[in-house]
Amino acid sequence: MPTAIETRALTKRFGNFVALHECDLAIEQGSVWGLLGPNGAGKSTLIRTLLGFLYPTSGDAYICGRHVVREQVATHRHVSYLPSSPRFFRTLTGRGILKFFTRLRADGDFALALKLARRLDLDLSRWVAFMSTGMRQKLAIAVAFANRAPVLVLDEPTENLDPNIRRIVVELVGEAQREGRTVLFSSHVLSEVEEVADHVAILNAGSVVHQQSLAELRYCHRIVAKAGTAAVAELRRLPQVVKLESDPLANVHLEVEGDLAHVLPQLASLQLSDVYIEATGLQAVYDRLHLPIGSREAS
Amino acid sequence: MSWEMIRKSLREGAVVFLACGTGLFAFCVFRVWIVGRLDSARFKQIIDLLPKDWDRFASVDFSWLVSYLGRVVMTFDEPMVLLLLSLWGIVRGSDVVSGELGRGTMELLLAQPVPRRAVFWSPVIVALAGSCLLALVIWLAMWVGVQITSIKEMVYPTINLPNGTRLPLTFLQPREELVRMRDVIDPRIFWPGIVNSVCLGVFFVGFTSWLSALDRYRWRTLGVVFSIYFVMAVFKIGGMAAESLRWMLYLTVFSLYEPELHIRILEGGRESLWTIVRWNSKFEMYELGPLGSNLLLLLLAAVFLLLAHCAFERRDIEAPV
Repeated sequence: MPTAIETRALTKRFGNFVALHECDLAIEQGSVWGLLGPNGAGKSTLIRTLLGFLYPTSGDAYICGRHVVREQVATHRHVSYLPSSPRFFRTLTGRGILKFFTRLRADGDFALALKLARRLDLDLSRWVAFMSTGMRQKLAIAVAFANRAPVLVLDEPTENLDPNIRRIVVELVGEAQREGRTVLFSSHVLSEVEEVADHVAILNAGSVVHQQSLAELRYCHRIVAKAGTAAVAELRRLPQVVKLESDPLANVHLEVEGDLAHVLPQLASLQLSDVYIEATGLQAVYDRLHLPIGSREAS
Repeated sequence: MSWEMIRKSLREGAVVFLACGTGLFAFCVFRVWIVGRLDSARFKQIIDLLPKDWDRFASVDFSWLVSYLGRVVMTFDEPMVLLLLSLWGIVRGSDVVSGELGRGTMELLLAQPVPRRAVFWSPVIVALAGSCLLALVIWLAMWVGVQITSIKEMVYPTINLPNGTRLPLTFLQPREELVRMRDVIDPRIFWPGIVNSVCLGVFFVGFTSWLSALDRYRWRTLGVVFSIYFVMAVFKIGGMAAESLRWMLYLTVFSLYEPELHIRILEGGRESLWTIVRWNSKFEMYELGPLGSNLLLLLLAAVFLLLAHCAFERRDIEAPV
């Protein structure tokens, strides 16, 4: 599969502050990537650098093979963007905004924009100045999806939206993927990411600290059991175990990766009791990688 | 250049343009009409009472300034006219970059397949065109004022000579007559003043756009520009007030705004308008000619716009606050 978005050692500094540190990503065409990380992790900086709003301090980034700095206009022909907390020209109505943005793009489709607005239950006759934050977000969603750009970059697309509209946004992302479009979206709602993305990249302190296919994540499990010292020592030797914690009450918490069919016989051979197995989920991965933001100041 | 971007800028500037245009038109018509209400001869008596060195505050001689033409032309120097003309350039120029950034609308614009230069130049072009149009509004208002105003003139009785000429009998008592101002003033003579006004407007568009391209808050851009504006106005007055402060005239752009002088020069001969530098009899440069002043204003505007363009092309676009 060709690459839709690629970054090579992408770095962005603001004075001494490293907002993005040697970020390497390769996002295949037609995939949906969730960008996760705590506030200030560098998600928006990465997105803003990809869109050419910020010039990288070093490194390169490409969208559909176009360099995001040297071929900015060509890049933007291939990408549609939804900002977090979007702002529009207050002198226009919702309809005027859709008309304006669809006319700016060769692939802009006003009819599609109107259809999306109806689906999002958006009052297009209202002036932007009198729109609520949620309405502006819906308008921005209609703008972002009203074209045929092969890459969609969505910065916290479900922010400020009610559950019904969140559902529609998730559906829209799924439809985009079925059309073969690539989607990169940042979010703090892990359940949404798990539902719609096929890959995740987790950023922390400006670095991509983890990349994972969500298909692989389905083979990650957390096991809680009571185990003796000998059993714990045996568990540590298992290659599938990625994390092991035990407490004074002889409870042991493990995270295992891979097909359970290979792990379960080995567990059965050990002296364990009160065994409980659950799917790990993105939350566990996220928690494992969460680091304090303060560790980012450049020396 | 995208027509959509131009249309957006037109829409955003329409209210300010209408406000400035209406204000200028109404004021200029009224100002010309007021000139017709005061007899020039009486006005001269007032001027004669002023101290002799007051003429340093005018770039043309007082005797010309107290004529109907001179007083009509002084409309260009009215603070209201100057302020409204500059206001357009400053308000629209400040919106070019820091206005969009401050409102948070810049990033959605730049995310479209539109080059940064189009995002920058579209509002600049509209602001420049607006400055030209506002100067034309001034001319139109003065033309209307001249057409609708009548003036009182003291006219000596005349006798008709056999060759058809009329000879005034100056030994008799003159009588007051109402004369149409358009018979005394040809509004076409105002064009050097209009050109000078356009150049000043263009300068403020360029200068403010440059500061806007460096900033991210429009209110701060406006604050800085208006501070500089008033400092330059003080420099102009200070520079004219005392010989020792003459250096101040080199630090203010208002030294290049002399519409009454340009119109006075046109009265003396059309070719003098095309001088870049006016020389004295010893051929030592002593001031810029009408063409020189206008060219310098346009050059400064071009330099500031170029600097603004470069700054905007290279700057990071911060996330809206």
